[in-house]
Amino acid sequence: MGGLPTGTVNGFAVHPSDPAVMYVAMRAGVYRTADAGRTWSAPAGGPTDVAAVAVDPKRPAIVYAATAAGRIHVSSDGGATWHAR
Amino acid sequence: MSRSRWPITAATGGLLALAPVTAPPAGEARQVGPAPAFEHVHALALDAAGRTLWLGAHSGLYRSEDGGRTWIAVSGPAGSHAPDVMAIAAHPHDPRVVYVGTHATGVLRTVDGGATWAPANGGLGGLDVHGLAIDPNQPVKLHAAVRDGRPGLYRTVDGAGAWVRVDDGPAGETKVLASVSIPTGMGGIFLYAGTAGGLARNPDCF
Repeated sequence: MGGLPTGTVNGFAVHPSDPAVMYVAMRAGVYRTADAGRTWSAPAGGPTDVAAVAVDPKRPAIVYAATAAGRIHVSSDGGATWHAR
Repeated sequence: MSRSRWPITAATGGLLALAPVTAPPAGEARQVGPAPAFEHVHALALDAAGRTLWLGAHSGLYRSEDGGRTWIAVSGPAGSHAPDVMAIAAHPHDPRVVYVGTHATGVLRTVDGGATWAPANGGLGGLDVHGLAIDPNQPVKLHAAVRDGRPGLYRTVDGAGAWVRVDDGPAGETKVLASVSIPTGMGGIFLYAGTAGGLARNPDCF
């Protein structure tokens, strides 16, 4: 159970057709669950100080994250790996 | 209504298993990319077509048509000044329809893809909106988290024509609000809130 660190949840996004897949944006990173929130994890090397996250409704493997300072990061594999725009 | 209906789930996730106007003129847009020119980002959303990325920041509302490489400031939403955009809710099927929640000018709505914006605050107890959720199954139904005036959680069932206060909403400062199509077993779905205290959820049917 669990896996979300304690702290402020700044952003939230959900997969358009599989609502068990959700993302939250936190200072520590972008956390993903695939089991409706029972377990959460964030990949090493992903963005930190994340303010907001969004899932592409047509290509849901594509996930965008924005840091508080305005840097955009993109994942094309459902949040497993990220690269900065 | 009791705030306890919004269990905080951040640390352990354990409680999660409980299972529980007049339209302003079209804004002049200016290019600000590729270097990000915004700070204090609050919200990010894609339109229903997956083409336009909307970003809300302290310095205003921005849009990108190239996946976040370049951005255009949208100066129409609150008249002459750029609003502090706290929340964005894009219609799940119609890319022309987007709602934004702002720090001082309430909810603004576009039905033409952002060319024109109009206030949509009827019934809202305040104009400081920190969360905005659109129901993925019934997109005329939205929830808003209001922090000033008569604060609380508000609901509309007519596309922000009229808002009605539901309850106090989640405890702590709401950062983001989202409707998630997970059935509650009581005829509704769950409303998730990201707050200063973590992630919480509550059935949306009250």
